[in-house]
Amino acid sequence: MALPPVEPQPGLPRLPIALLTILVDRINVGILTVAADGTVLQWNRFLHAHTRLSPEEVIGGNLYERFSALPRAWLEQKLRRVFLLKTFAFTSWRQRPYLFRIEDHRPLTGGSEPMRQDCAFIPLVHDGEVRAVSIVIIDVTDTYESQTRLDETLATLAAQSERDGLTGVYNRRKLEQVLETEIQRARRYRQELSVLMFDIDHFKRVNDTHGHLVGDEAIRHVATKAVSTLRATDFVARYGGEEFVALLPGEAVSGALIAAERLREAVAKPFAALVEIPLSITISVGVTGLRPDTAAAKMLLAEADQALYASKQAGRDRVTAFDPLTASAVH
Amino acid sequence: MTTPILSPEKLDALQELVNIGMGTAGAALAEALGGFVGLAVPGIDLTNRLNVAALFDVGSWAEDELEAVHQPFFGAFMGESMIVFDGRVHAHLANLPGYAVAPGAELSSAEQQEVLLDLANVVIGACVNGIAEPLQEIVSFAAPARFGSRSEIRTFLSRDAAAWHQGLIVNVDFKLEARSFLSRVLVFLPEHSLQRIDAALTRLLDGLAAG
Repeated sequence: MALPPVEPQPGLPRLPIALLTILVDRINVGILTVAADGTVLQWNRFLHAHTRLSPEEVIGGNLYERFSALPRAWLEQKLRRVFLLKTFAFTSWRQRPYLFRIEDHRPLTGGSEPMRQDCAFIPLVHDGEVRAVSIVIIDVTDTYESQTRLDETLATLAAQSERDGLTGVYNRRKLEQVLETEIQRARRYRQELSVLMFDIDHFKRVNDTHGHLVGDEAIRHVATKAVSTLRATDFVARYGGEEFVALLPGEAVSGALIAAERLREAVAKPFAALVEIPLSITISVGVTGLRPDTAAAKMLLAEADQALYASKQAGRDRVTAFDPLTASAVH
Repeated sequence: MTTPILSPEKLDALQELVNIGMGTAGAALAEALGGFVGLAVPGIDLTNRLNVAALFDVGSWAEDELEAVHQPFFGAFMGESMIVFDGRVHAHLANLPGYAVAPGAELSSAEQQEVLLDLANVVIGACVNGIAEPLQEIVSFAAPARFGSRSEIRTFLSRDAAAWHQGLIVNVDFKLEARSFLSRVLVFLPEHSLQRIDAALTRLLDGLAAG
């Protein structure tokens, strides 16, 4: 088709309609236009290339018959509103991944997922009437992919920010948050809540004798035993260097003492720790429980710490409960 | 810096035109959404006079549960619109006529968001056209977006007058038959759009005077 050269027109310079048509055809977004009855009036090259259906095959036919995979009821209602209200409508890949299913078209860099699409429905208004509606389809697969990566990274970071790097149990910051919510929950549902605080006996001696790497193994050993002997619903955190805290929701002090004793015995069994002969370590444990007069989370931790101190004073490798009556710890 | 604020006569004329425009918008919305639609008489205020937060201080607006969608528009004049729903809107999203949802079906969170965004888009579109059409202007729209959180909505609404750009806010209440949620549309027209509106009003008023 021979086109006249573009010459400056008198008055307002204008792009000839024929060139405008080329732009609409060649632009790197999908554009199709439908009449009120669903007849396709226009189908540009982008859609031709990606669906492998030519304008000849699509134009003049009914959109829903040609593309039976389209969500017909939804799309008809959406288009109807655009015709009625003479206003735009949109879809986002965030809620509806695509309008036309198009397989990934990037042979070098693409993945296996279909193209993500943002769509705009534009009413073509002439003399006050909507003559047809154009649907503009934008490939937002890149946005989708970077958003997915960002979401994954954020999820990983969020998980890491509440975990202890050496042992994988929760860290102190997370413990402080969880302790507050567990106290509230226990009060609301009138349930028990117990707290264990424990640390490795003579930890400095382990480090001095075997080196810090073995010390790290000992810390990991205690964390592993705490996770495996306590219930899945219990919460284990590394509180400081060789010190741990466990929260036992729904458990009274009497039950927590039994759990603590089981943990103490499990830790005391020799374990392989980078040295030729298996290493043996022990822990001391302090136990306390939530009471109606417990003023704050800090108070619970202080009580458990006091009971832990009593275990140490009494010779280590043992479990002690905090006694609220004497505000001291009893064995 | 001079502020070309619409004269009182122009403001009155605009109020009259927008009243008519919203009437048309209400009728079109009723047809599109399949039910009686109530659009209250729109309020028109200059931003430096209007306390936006006060619009949302009473009744169920005062509750924490709000949902809001904002959407820019452009063309003959440009601006941004916002629709705020009270929290009860969520209960109605699964049974709005015209959204191809099976009766009694549970909507996934993505489906809920899609219906909410489209409802917002439709009501905002009708209201903005209710301003543009009587002025014989045509506007285009960008995609709507949901406010991320309730506190974000509250913070935005309670900005003091100084934080708002100079301009005009048209606010109109929207009600859908037999559905108990409130919604309120705010259309914000910044200063540079008011010049265009002023010109359109001059054209229309001169036409009336000549006719």
